[in-house]
Amino acid sequence: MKNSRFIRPAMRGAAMSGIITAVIWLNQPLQLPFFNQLDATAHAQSVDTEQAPSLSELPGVNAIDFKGQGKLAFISKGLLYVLDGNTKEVKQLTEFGSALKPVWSHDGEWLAFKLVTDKNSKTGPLWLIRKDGTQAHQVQGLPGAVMTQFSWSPTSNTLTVSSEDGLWLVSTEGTPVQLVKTPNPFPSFCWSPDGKSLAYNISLPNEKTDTRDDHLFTVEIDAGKPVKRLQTPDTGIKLAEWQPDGKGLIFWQIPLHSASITADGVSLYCLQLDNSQPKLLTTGLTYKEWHSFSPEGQLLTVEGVDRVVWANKSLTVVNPNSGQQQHIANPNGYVAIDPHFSPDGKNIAYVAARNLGSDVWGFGKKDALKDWINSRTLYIASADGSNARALPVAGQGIYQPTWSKDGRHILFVKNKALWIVNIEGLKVEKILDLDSDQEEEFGFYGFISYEDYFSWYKG
Amino acid sequence: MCWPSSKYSLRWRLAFSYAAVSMVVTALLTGMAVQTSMNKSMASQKEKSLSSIAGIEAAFSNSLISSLDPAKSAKQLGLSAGGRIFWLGPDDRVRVDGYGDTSLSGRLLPLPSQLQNPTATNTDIFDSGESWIAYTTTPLRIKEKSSGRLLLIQDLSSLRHEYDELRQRLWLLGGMVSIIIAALGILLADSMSRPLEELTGAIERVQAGKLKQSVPVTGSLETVALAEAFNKMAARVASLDEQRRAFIADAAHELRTPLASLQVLAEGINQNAGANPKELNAFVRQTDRLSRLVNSLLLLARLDNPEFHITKVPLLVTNLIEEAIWVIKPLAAERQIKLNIESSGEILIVGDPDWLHRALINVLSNAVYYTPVGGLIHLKAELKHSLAYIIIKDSGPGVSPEVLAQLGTRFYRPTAARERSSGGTGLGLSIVKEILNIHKGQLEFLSSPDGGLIVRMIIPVISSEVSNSVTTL
Repeated sequence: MKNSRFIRPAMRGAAMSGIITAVIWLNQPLQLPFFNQLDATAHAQSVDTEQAPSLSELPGVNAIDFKGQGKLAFISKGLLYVLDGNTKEVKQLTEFGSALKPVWSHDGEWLAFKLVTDKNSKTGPLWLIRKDGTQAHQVQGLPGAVMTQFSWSPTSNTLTVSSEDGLWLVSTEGTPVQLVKTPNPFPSFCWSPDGKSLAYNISLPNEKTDTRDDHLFTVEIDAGKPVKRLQTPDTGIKLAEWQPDGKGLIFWQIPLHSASITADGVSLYCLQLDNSQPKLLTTGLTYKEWHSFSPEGQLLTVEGVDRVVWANKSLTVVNPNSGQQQHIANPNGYVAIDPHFSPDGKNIAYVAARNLGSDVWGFGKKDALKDWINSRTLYIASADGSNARALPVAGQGIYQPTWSKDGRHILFVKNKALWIVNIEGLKVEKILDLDSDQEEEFGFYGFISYEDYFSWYKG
Repeated sequence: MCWPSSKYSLRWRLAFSYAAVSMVVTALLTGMAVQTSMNKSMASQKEKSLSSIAGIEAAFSNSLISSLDPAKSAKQLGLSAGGRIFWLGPDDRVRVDGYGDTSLSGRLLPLPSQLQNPTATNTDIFDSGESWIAYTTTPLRIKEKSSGRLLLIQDLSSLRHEYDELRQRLWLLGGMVSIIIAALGILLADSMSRPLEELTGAIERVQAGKLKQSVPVTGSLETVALAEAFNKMAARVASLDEQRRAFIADAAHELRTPLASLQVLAEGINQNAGANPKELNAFVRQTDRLSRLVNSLLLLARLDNPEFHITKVPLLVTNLIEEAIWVIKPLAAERQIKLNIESSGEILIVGDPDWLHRALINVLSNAVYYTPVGGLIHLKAELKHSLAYIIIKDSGPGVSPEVLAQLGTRFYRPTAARERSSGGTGLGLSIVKEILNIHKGQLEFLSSPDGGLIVRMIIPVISSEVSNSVTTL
């Protein structure tokens, strides 16, 4: 062949190149796409997709009459919803499980709630979710799965959780941080009004539970060093609130750590932070739902012993700093419960129910309970108790009346539903049905809290 | 394979070639085996992951319906699947991490682009640098309602380890095989090169003049054939050298005899100051003999030349015989020898008419010379097995079998009745033999049962197809 001197080397070269290419190609490391990102997530937070969960059949809600009343988080058929009074929009936030006890953050952007995994104890892991349903996530990293008490900071989106080994701070982003470790599980606590400190109690270990001493501490959440404020020998402490002016702590003292005594009423104290001796305010049941502060810091609460709600319960306005009380007379034959200060502190709303006396510890017939429930009437009065008047337009069986931000409406619970009454026009409208599964309307000797089923952010 | 130079021995060329080929084959097979194995493993792993995520999705959905702790469920299901489970909400943010990494709660995971679609079930395997990670995602539906999706992340370091180990083992095996093949290549090359080396040594010895050489006939078919060919060639060369030596000696001897006679005659003439007619006649005869001898030698030299060519044409044997008879007839008549010609028909051969004529003249002359006066020469042509036989039988003295074997040898003359005094050069039949050889024919000698010599000139005939289309001479 004439061109063999060129063709043959070229063919050899091509063959060698082919073989070498095949060898290299076949022996190259397995070409997998590179991905190693689990640690680098901080930048991803800026990306916010506005995808809402899929909608179930929305519950019937009267959004019109809730207009301008802020946002209402509520539970319906186990799912968490938000009614926005401004947009009149109802948004489903969860699509699974049984949510319970929604609580708004200080700015109304976040909700904390329990996802019930034990229906008997109504306990389960804590979840956080934004008001629009995004960024829902379970709070992980906390000891145990039972969360009994949690509370948002009044100034930031930080949640304090009382767990089986102390207090934890949970932010909407990042890892929970244990603030203090306590020897007793589930310590009571409360936030300072400025959101910088927490007050909590510890029970010192002792062989006999009734002789344990309790200590009352405050701790700055940034500094983290607890300050002991009070020691109560043989007596337990259950914190109620930090005074709105930040000067003192309001708490109950539990003699001998006795739950039985607590159920029948214990003393409510105020410890001024500049004083080592607490001041007795009043005596009553340990329901924080029965505490309401006026803008001036006056505490409106229910006084009176006996665990039954229908006996010995009346309202009192206490000055936590001075300890001075102003007793408010009950309507004749009635007890006064579920009090709440109007936003301006000039009026109060409460429920008056028939006084059955302390001899009644239960109801043999269901109708008798219904009769008593039907005696629960919405009252409003001036802050000093004068000018008390019933609002029969609201109907009977009233629970937990709460003033609106504008002071012209009262939101209350009736027949397992939320209602709103315009106290000027005396117009009552049902807003929505609650998901309360309380078949037993007896509650705890007449006390029922609906906080597990709704939370109102007044805006 | 193209070698840069010829300085490498066959042994190392073969060894290197075998090693290189085995290494290339190893590389190809290893790569192919690893690729195939890993592709199957990857596909199998993806199927497993998809199967796992389907089971996890059903179990997780049921756990949520049953109000179980999602984080615990994710952890347990992740453990059973050998991986980490994320529950991503409809906004694709982390709701639950089975590992409990709280730093990821509520955050967007920077997922690979292949897994960005939250409504599709998908799986893929990635290289994280330190390991291989399988990411599998599937939409989560709770009571037929979409609730985001589940992400299963599985560490496939065991698969990667398997891949690395498989490749290492195959390469190790391939390396060992290459070494063994290279060693075998050396042995094979050694067995191949040893006969060549022996052959080379023999050739060098032949070059040095030691022509009687032979090499062992061992090894492969090719080397055996080569050794046999060499041995035959060496034997032939040695024989030719022997013949050459004998020829030179004979030629010198044959030349020396007339030269010596001429010298004696010349000296006699010189002493007698003149030559008488008898001496001059003897001088002329010796000169004539010397001339014939030289002519015969030149003729043989021409015939021995490998580049000697003859002009072959178709010709009839009868024509050849008739021409020869026409030439030899006067000589035979001079000696009263009767020529008896027998022909069996037209026989067509191909050959050079001049050289074949010369050959036939030589044989007939030889017959005339050795046939006594008044004798008979029988000449016959016949066709047997595609061969033309020209048979010349004289009535001279008989020839012993030993002499028959030597007839045709250069300068050979029978020592008895057919002696040199008859006037021959001893080269005539040798010339005939060479002429027939050139025509791919043969010269045979037979002893006649009733005395005399039978000479058979055997010449291939022309094929019938050709014979129909040729013009004869």
